[in-house]
Amino acid sequence: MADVILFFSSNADTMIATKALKDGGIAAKMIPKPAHVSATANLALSIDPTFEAHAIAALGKANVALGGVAK
Amino acid sequence: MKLGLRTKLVGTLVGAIVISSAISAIAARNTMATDLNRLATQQVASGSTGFAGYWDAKRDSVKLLVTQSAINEAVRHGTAAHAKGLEATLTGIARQGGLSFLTVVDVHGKVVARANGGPSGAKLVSPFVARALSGETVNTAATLPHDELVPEQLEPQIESTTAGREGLTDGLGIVSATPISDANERTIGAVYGGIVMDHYYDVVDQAAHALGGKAAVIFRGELISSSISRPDGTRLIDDGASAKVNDVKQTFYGVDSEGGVEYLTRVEPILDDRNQVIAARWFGVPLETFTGIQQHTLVSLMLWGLVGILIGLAIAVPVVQRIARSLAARSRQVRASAQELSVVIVGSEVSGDHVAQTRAAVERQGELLMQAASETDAESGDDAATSSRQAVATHAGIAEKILAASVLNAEILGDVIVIDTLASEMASRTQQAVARVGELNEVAAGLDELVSGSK
Repeated sequence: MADVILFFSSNADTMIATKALKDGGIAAKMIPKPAHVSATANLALSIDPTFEAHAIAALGKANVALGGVAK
Repeated sequence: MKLGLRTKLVGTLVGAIVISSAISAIAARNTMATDLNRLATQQVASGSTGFAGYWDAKRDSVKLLVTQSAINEAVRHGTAAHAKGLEATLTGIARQGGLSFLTVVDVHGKVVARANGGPSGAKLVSPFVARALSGETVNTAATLPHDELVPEQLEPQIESTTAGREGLTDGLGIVSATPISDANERTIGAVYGGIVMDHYYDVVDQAAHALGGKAAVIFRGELISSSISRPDGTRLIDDGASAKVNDVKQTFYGVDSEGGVEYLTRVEPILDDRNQVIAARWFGVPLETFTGIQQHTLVSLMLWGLVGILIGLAIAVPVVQRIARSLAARSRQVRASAQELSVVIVGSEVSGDHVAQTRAAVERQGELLMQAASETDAESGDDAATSSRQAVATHAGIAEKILAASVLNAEILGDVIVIDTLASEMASRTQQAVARVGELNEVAAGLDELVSGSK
């Protein structure tokens, strides 16, 4: 199953989200934003699809605004 | 001194408000000063003109009374007959008309009667009487010499009231002289009358009450009549006028101090019938009237400015604090995340995770390529049958390894892009931080210059 891509409004948000997910015990890999994703940031996060709900919850808890999710 | 972000923001805000208020106050003060100066000039000029009008009206009044006396039947008959009862008639006219003196002379210039009861029979040597006897009506301000004042019983009226300044020399009067004619229009005498302006307050009080300032008459360098008050409330009279105005020959406009009070004044010369300056009309408005408005407005502006600053601060400080808190929190988050990712803001080191991942990927890619190369060498050394079977398997293994290396290559490319992006991001933030510090330093230097005056 392909990874889920989380994207944000800025690269700084992407960095903050990386830490928030890491603190939440969710592995996330920072990747260049895929061409088919429309976002202002150049970076995005790739996570395992099984952790999507956990990741969104962790980001909400850390008060990081999620720009969108691409699958 | 190291200042926090909140302190710098609030300081900048306060500095901006203070500078804005100060500039507003200075601008308002300058504008008001210009307008008030214009208003003051207008008020003093119109007051001075009004005072001159009262003066001229008094002069015309004297002329009218003297002329009417000259055509009075009792005066004409009394003059022709040197009647004893003429004195009573003149006294009545003078009292009713408010004249200081009224004298009738015969055609030879000898006094027939005086309203004040002075001696008669002597020749009146005034040049105005001589001109009246020649048929001319004279009406002017004039210096009344001692020789005229004494017989007219005017000495007590103009004697100085100030101790140590006694000693009568002359006085200032508004006089008129006109011929008396009989029924055949022959000159049989002249009437000479007028008002002594020394200690005469009618004109100055009228002008002061009507025009809203202070009025005075300066003669021989002294205030012989004025509506100006001394600090104790008494009328300022018989004192020397200030050096600025005690001997004006031309109209003076400016600040003058009389009785310990500064006035914005206009002083106009009083001319006699030969256009010689013999005295001056002084009209002034207390300078405090104008400076008081300025000071009051300035103080009001400062106070309201202060209230504005306090209200502005009350509104702005919580907002600034919220913004500062938000900025600080965001900054902390980014810094913590950057540390977590091993991204060092100052320097060229970037994400440690990605560097390690990239290194591992490159090593793995190298291994795969080495394995592919080894399998290719082994294939070339076997016999034909074995070689044919093994070749298919080896080709499949090589293809898999090359495919895996290709995937790793794509991953390495992604990591390189991430590293490059992170490096750019942090470099950009560093540049922004440096620029903001520079701006804040400039603001701090400006405030320091404003407060201490030093660069």
